[in-house]
Amino acid sequence: MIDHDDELKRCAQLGPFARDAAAALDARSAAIRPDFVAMMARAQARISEAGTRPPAKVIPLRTRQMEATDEHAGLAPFATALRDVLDEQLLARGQTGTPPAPAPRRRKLAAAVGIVAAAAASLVLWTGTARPVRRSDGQDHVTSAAAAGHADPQAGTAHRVPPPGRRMTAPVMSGSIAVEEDAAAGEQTPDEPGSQTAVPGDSRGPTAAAARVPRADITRRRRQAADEGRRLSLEEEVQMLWQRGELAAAEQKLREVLRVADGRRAELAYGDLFALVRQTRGSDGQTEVWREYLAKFPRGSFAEDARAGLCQRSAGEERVACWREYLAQYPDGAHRAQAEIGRSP
Amino acid sequence: MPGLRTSVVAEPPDDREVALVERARAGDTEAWARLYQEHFDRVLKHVVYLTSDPSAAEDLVQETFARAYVAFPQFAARASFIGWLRGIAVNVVRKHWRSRYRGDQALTQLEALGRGVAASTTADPEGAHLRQRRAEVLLAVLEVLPESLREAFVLCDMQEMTTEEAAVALGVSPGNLRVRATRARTRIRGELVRLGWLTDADADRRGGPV
Repeated sequence: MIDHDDELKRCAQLGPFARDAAAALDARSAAIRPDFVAMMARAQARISEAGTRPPAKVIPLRTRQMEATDEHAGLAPFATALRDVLDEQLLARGQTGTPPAPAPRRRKLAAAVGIVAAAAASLVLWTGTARPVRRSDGQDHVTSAAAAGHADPQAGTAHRVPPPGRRMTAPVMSGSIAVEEDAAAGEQTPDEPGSQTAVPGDSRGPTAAAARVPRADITRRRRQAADEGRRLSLEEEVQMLWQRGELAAAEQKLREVLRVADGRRAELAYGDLFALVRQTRGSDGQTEVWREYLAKFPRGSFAEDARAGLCQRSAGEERVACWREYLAQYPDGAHRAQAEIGRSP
Repeated sequence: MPGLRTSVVAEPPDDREVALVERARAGDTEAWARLYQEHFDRVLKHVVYLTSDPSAAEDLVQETFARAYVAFPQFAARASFIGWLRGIAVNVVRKHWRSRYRGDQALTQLEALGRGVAASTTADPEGAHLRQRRAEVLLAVLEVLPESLREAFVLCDMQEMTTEEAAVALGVSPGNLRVRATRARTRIRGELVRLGWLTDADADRRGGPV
């Protein structure tokens, strides 16, 4: 039996120790900030590595417009950045060539018909805006501006990422919607609270696939592109270098993109650069790139997150001023709760 | 009082959170982002206290949310989302702890801390230095506690969670948790007495060095 008086004494004695330990840990962890994009990249890598799910079906679309609420608007930068990351993950997934699950012949035939129909529909609908991405199986996989999260709202394009716990295995296209089959069946999932199951190893975004993209594969893709009378785009080369783990070379290539690109293309390159530099030079490098980006795109798609990131990493009066400026510019921004706290000295 | 709060049951999620969960479950990334933003600090605190290692916490918190995202289809919409996250975090931290724990090193560190402390901090009992040393010695003691006792103490006494909340996060019954917390306090107190921070007859004192 627990003696209540003894327990009270123990608590009274240990209270100061517990409070001091808690305060010390709070102080030491104050600089840690959320990074939604990095978390989602990790989640998608886990899903991709599991690789046991059936492919998504492509069904006719009933156009679904995103609700234009304030909440959506505030989180748009997150969603934009996330979609870029997911596209990157999809590309990596395609290039690593995970063998498809065996399917009965009839299903294969039906799937082939569906893919051809969807591809034809997307080709018609997306002429002029689509940018082809090469997959290891030799098929061109259309990753459109919309799929990267930059759809023209006038076009009535629907865009969805897979529901949590599900893998997006088909390109998201106008005129169709990727419907994910239930991931729960037969899937190893993270531990339920209280269970003692071992945790799978860590995995981090594009580098997780690095060692799995052999040089011969790149050569083959280059040759294939040459056969088709075109050169690999700089962006494709960036992706390949990145996936092979040649981070410095990938960064150099991204810099080439930035020298020749402007507008949306340059912004997308910066989106990649944020993630890449975080891998190579950590938060200091990322801060430099945020500043560089804001100088060029003060109202860009990533400007809100970049500004918030800079505020988070500043100190003293500079931090207060930074958050005030953020709130003035983004009164309903995604980081406003933090900004409200940070704007007071 | 920390560790003895048993009557307050964790509040059920409000309608807004339930709606966010439903939207996130349907694939609405903005809703998931909102859930992430709103719960990040609490999960971070939970992980930092459980690991005593802020340098590892960022990675572990991200891992917690990533695993939650993957397992989201299994989450019951009306359950406590933060309770569910904390449960996942406990498992993530356990894995981390088991991979890095070096028992001999922890004991050596504890002995070193104990010797230094008793001799060096006699003045300014509420000063910053003393608080820092108390924090260090408690964290060192926690390093050598068995996992189940450490978790119980951290959740009940450092995070000041109710018994019910802590029990849910650890996947044990409230009664079991109370027993663990009591054992943890007894062990910690014993170590602090042994190291000269408390005396057996010191029941009313507030934890200064002797």
